[in-house]
Amino acid sequence: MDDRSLVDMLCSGDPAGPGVLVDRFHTVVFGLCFRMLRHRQDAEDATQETFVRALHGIGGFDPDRPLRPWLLGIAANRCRTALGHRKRRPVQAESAEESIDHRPGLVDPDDLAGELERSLQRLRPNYRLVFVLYHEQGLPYDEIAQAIHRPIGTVKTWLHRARAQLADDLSRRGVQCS
Amino acid sequence: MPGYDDSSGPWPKLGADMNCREFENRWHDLLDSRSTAVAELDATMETHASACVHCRAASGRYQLLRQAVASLGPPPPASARSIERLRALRVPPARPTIPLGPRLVRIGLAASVLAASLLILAWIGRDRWAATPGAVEPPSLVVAQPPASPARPELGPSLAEATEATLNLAMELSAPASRIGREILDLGRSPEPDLATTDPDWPTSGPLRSVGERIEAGVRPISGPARRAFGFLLDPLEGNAVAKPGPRESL
Repeated sequence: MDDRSLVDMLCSGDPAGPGVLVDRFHTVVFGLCFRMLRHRQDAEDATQETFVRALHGIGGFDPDRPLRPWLLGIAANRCRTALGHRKRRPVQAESAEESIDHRPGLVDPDDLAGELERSLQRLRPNYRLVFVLYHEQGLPYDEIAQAIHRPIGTVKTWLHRARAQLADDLSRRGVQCS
Repeated sequence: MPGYDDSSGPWPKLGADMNCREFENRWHDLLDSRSTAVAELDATMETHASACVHCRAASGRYQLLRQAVASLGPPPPASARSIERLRALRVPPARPTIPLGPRLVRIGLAASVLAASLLILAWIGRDRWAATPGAVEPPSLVVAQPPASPARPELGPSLAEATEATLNLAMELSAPASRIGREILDLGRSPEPDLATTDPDWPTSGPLRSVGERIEAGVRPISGPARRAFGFLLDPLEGNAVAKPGPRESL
């Protein structure tokens, strides 16, 4: 089923429509939320808010547009809101920043992905969002630009800065190629 | 071979027609390809990296990042309970939309009411603005008013009613009575009363006769306050003289 048929199905009030939408997109939406928030419960809450908002706004959605960037854009906004709320919390249980041990020699050279995840948490949220959308979700530049409502040039600049900072952070922490 | 010094100038060419910015941009092109294989630098990049220590180090860092990205697995799946909750979501019923015609009528009515309100406000405020052009309105003095007590009669209205009743009574007096009263007052003011000036049709019976007798005996007929109270019966010129009370003498 293509995006247009799914949008028509949802707009017509078909009770099976939300299930189809969830089955098709919940993995990418939850993946983005988890990478951004690095907390399962928060990511599930953000995912649910994303789909609730999407179902509320599906009536005004342009069926000629692709669904994935639209959904990921909603998810990105939910994650920004959740991160803003997290900053205002008086006491955090254990932030990702605190969980990173920066001492050289303590990194696991075999766990390159884990080291990259830790470095990701040190990025600015906008850089992290663009990096995850490009390298993990596989979105092209134009879809990322649609999702985050920024020009393509801005997306490229943020992605390049994200890569440079990640590479510096990995190298500074003593992570080496296997 | 000496390394590239960043302070030597803006992105000088080193190696085969490539500067440091172009070297980094080429690396981003390699990372954009999303290939999981180890990046193979072309000859131009190899030449520049061998000549520039800064870019050689950057090349190693980007190689590391490329491997890390390739090793990044998918995020863990959402819990089954969360997915079931998502599947239970429903599209909320759309709000009934008002057709364009009635909607325009409503908008027009609302705009008319708003415009009329603004006109009324402007009309009310116009005189005020015209009276004091550019003047700053002083703060209004708020005088505390005592709470109104319905059980307590007010003095002002009662006094006004009494005054009106008195005036009405005076107006209803007959012309002879008025004339008699004026003459009595005149008699009381003059040391030698001249009864010859009295009206020929003076009423000669009753209490007025005894009043006349007492006047003849030299008794002033009316006290000072009484003369002031009934001074409205006199002529205006005479009223000034009456306004000055003399010593009180009882009738």
